[in-house]
Amino acid sequence: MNTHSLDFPMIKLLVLKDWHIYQKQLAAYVVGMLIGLTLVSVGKNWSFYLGALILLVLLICAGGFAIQSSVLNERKEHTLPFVMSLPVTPMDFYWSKLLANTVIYLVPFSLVVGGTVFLVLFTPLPDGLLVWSLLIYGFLAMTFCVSLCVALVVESEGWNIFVQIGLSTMVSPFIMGIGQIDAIAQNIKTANIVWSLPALGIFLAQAIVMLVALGITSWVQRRKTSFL
Amino acid sequence: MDNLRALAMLTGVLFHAGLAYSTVLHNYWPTADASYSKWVDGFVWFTHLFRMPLFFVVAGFFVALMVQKRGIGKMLRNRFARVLLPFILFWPILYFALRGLTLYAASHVDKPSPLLIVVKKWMLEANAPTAPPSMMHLWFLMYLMCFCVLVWVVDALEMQWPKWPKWLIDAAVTMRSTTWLTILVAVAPLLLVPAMASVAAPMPAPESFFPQWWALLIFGFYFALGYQFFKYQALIDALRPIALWLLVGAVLAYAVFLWTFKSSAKLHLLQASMEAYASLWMTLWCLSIGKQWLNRSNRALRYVADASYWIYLTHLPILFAIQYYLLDIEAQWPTKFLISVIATLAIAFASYQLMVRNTVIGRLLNGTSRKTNEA
Repeated sequence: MNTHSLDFPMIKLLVLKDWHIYQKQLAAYVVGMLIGLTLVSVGKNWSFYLGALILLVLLICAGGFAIQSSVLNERKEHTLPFVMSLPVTPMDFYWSKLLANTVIYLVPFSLVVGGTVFLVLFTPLPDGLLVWSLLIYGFLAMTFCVSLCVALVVESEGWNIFVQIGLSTMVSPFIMGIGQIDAIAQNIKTANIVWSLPALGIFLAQAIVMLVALGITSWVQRRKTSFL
Repeated sequence: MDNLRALAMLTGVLFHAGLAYSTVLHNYWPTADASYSKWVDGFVWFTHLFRMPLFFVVAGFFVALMVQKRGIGKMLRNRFARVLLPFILFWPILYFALRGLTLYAASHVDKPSPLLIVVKKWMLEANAPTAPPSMMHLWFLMYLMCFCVLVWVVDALEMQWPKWPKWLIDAAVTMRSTTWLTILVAVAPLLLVPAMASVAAPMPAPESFFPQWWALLIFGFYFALGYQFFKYQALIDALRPIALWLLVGAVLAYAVFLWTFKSSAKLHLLQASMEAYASLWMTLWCLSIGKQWLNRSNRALRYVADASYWIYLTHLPILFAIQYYLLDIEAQWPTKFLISVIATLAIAFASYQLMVRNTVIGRLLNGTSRKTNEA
């Protein structure tokens, strides 16, 4: 890709625009996350699970809403004709959407992942939980990345909803699935952080899926000479 | 207001120095000395009830000022630079300094504190338990940052600050009678009681990296109070006629708190209520008195106000080093207390003058250059 042809100041403006539009939802997520983190720290079993559930649900919702409001809704509300009147190329537009959504998602994602890592390493929780929980977060990051790429490439609202809901429903089977892999499951309740071959393989697979999704999306966008 | 903030921070040095000679924390504080007294408890826990609340009231006041002058975005950027960045930079240094000092003291002090004895035992065990890292005395920075973000949340969600107290405040400020204000001040501490009652007395410091709901409520209340005080500054003046009563009431509430201190758990609600009353009333008294006595600016006050942030951030390792040394010295607690406070402040002020005031650290902590501050 020829990055010299990108209009970086314009991309920055478009990212800021998305950030500005999305800040109301992000503000609500911040409150939700504060509640979730506070519940996790209460020290009771019920509050820990409720807090963890709130954080997980918010993470999935944060990604879904970001894509919905900044990509799909704009398409539905016919913002594209307006964007076409701006001195913006399809690649500028693509990069702005990719960056804006990634930044918006990374705020709650890093908060939750950081909180989990701290909780696992510095509380009586078994350290072996670390690899298992990072695999789950890796899966969530992968589903977000794939959903975003599909939203950027596929214009059909139906297909986008199908992909988002489909990937979200895969979270539970994924958690159950990695729990069936002995090399991962047998270390969950121990104090050992074991980067087993299957665990590393899953991380690698998640990274490959994300890179392939981004690669295909970039390739499709590069071929576009106009927005239509 | 800046002088009040400095005073609240410097009181923190006295508070932490006093804990070494407290009976309440004797088994839990690393520098706990063999010489201790109930008189110290009477003093340190009283300051503990209002010094951080006062800090959060002042912080809320300044955040409201910044929002009005520069807008939410610039306020957040400023708070990230002056609050979050110092936390990120100073926390690891202070954490490892305190940890290193404590481990050194555990193996070198001849008359260790009860906690140092435990640490010494742990050092000899292969699978000794380790305490999770805490925010230590820097917890206030993260809570302050959290409240600043919540100011943005309130703005982004287009929520209105509660309007219902406006008529009460107007009535309190405009009516010649102090009846309304007295009622307001008498009822307001009740809002703090549930949060105060949920934790042990005296209220602990929320040092965990995870937000504590009771601390969010208590210090959030004071932050919001400060935010409102900026909007209704006449309210601070309106407190003047009842200031003496606030002081007398706070002292009485604290006396009841001390009287019930080691009584049965059944009285915990009463203790929490007394903590809440003493805390809010002393904070309001400090605000009123501060407006009368500290509402001035000169070179000395400006210097102390500028230095207070650095001093508060860095005082604990200095204080611990001095108090670990004093553990082996034969002297009574008043002497050790005075030595540790004076030596800590002397070293902290000297380091501020030599390493901070005219350097990049000074600009990081205080924002503007010394010349600008003095102008």
